[in-house]
Amino acid sequence: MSETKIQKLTLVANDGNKIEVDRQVAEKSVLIKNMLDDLGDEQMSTEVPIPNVNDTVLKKVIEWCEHHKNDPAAPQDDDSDSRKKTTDIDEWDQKFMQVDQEMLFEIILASNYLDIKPLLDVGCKTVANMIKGKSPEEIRKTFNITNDFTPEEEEQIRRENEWAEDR
Amino acid sequence: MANNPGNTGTNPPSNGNGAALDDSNGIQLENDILYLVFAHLPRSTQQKVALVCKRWNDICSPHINRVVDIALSAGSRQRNAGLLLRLGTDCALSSQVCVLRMEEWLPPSSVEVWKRGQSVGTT
Repeated sequence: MSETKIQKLTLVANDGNKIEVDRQVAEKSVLIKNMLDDLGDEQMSTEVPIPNVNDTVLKKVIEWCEHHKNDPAAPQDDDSDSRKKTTDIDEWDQKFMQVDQEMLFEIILASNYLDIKPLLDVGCKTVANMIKGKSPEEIRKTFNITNDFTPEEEEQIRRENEWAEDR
Repeated sequence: MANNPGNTGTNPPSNGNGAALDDSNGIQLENDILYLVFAHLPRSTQQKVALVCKRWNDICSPHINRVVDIALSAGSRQRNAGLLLRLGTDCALSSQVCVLRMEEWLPPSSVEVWKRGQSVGTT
């Protein structure tokens, strides 16, 4: 039985384009890592289809994984409020996320599908930063959302939530 | 992230990627992802988010209602009465509450404070 470990993987985007990446980079995705662990190197094809992500988005996600390939693994289930409430994003990630809204959402969806929690976290923080400091109307404009509340419903929600002030 | 009326409280139709497409073919974030986004916001912003549309209100409510603060101070009687009534009658709200904080009230020494089933001490 050969002990050779696959070192390179070819990710195949949903449009058929192939991208070769180092195993270490690909394994930032828990989905791919689990696939490799479950199937084992012997049975694993070096071509990994990623049917839900297109070439452009996959390249962008790989760029992020390359940059962060040496980051220590994030602690499991760190759902503490203090971590969640912060929207601090490191400088490189901020620049990385300077894309149009559609691409930002595509990256978030791809990171969710590929199970890359730190990238999903950066994406969510970026959207949270787009919301912060805006009025409901400004938020609607930013995300092209229709207000489906009647004025009475809006007033009721305002009343119901009035106790929930930051303390 | 365009709103999808009629979809309130349910997952938007998915294209299999977790994305859902609205009428204008814009990409919409799924409810569970929006939930993660809202977790990063302070409560004051969550309150604004709840006013954006029905879907966002449904997704954001568990964050807002997770910690209920009851300030027992002069002038807060009416607000507290409404809140306590809702806690007693609104199952959706009461099921989302994880922490109930009593603030601005120190019971006098003669008052014994009880937590369900057990005494938590007197002052």
